[in-house]
Amino acid sequence: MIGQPLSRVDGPVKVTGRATYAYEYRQDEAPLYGVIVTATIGRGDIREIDLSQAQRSPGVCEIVTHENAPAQGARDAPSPSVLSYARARPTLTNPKVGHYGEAVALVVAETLEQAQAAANLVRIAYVAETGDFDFMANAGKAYTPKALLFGMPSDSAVGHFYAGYDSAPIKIDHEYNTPYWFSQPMEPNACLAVPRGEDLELYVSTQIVDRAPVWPAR
Amino acid sequence: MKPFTYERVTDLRAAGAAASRAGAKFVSGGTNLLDLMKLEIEQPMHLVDISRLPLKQIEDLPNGGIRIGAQAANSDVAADHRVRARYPVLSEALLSGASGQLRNKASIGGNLLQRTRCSYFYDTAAQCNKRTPGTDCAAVQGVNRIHAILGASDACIATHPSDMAVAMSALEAQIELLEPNQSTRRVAIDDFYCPPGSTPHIETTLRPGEMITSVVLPPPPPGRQRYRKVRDRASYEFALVSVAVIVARDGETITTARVSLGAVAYKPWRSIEAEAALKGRPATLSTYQAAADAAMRSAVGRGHNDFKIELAKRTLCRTLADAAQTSTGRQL
Repeated sequence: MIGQPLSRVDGPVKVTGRATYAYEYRQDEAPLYGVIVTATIGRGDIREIDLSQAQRSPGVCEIVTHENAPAQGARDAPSPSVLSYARARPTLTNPKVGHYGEAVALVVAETLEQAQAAANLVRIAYVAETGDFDFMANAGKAYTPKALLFGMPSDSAVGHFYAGYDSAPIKIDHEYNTPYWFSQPMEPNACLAVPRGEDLELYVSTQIVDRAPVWPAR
Repeated sequence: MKPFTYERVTDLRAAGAAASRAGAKFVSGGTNLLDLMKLEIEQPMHLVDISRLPLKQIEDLPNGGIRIGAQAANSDVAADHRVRARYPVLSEALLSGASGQLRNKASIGGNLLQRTRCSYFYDTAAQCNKRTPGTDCAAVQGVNRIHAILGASDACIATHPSDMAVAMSALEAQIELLEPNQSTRRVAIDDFYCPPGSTPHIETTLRPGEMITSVVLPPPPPGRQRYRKVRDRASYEFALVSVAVIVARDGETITTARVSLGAVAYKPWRSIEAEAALKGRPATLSTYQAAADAAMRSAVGRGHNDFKIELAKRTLCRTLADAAQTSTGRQL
């Protein structure tokens, strides 16, 4: 396989629009659409949320914020045996903003376009705090972590590089640069949620299927 | 997206009448306008689709120049055998922009009128004098890696994103315009875009309801033409710096030169200073460096984009060397 130009088996289905994405597994009735409103500050607090315009926008069914979101369980404690992102992540639980782009509201409407239009009308006032956002300005504080995921060592070294390199008969010392390469998933970040009595059926796009039931906050 | 009405016009008189309606805006390929409408940055009340107007032809002019219809697709102009033979810098510039699908859809007139890709212009939570006049420019104190180093003001440091326009600037293109009352006029591309000053929301000298009907290229100047684009990604990416040059030489001496730079200012930046530093000088690296210094003499960095000044100089030197290379294969 190495060096061979292999085609993805799902390629033709995806580029011809025939692939069914997670959010397209429609149930018996037409779904409602939710659009997430995200924080526009890097750190601070939500001072006030004005939903008056958004609530009057056509097609809007529900707007969830930290002020009216149902209670959720606490976030699981960190554990060295569990990937940090494979823990339940309660959201909209308080007015704190921890990062730019954090979810601060969910607007639900009859169509995607209606939900997007109403999301644009959610007015949020913040009390912004200062933060350290310049990566290089803080380079001096960089440290080597004790361990990585699952306790893997943060540095790995085999043998004695400099001793071997210094005594090598032929040396090649060159710096290589490559441009950024991205693996771009074609599937949009969207899931389908179907309430079934006390249960919730979720159709999601995920890399780690067996961890997916853990993610939704309970 | 805000509700709007849509109308397709097939003759110029109807287009002029439609453009006079309140909140009207022309649309052709829609490759930029529709994105901006979805973000509610553009909120036209009435869209007038001019893509079916009979303005797609590319015609030779008696003086040896060429007229390119404003509704011609970017792809068709790039592939036209006359453009490739006589204006290769334009073909190269067009093909370096966007993607095949976008070039098939995007028109020549729309390319000239595309809006900046400044991230703060697109981020409706950020302050932007271009989007909301009289607020502030978030880019001046923000992440301004892609922003202008020439011709900017404290109110706006956005760049014009077109590749095509950079080549047209070096070719001294004239833009032909039609007003709603059917009167016509011509504007040199160098006079078409307005410096941001304190009014960065006013981007061109277009009058209300006025439409670009065609772009006229004068006969190509003597010399070899080159376009070079430097960007973060190998394709489907806007330029950090681009350069269009046309260099003519007699033996070892440069007789005339044209130099325009892209992604450095609110418009394709013609550098008369660099051209003067090349004319009559030997075709050597020191000449190119002097021209590059001249081109960047009034350049101002804003922090993250400081590197663009040196990048522009090196890109210009390299491209001048390419263009000045003789047919015997002599290289610097």
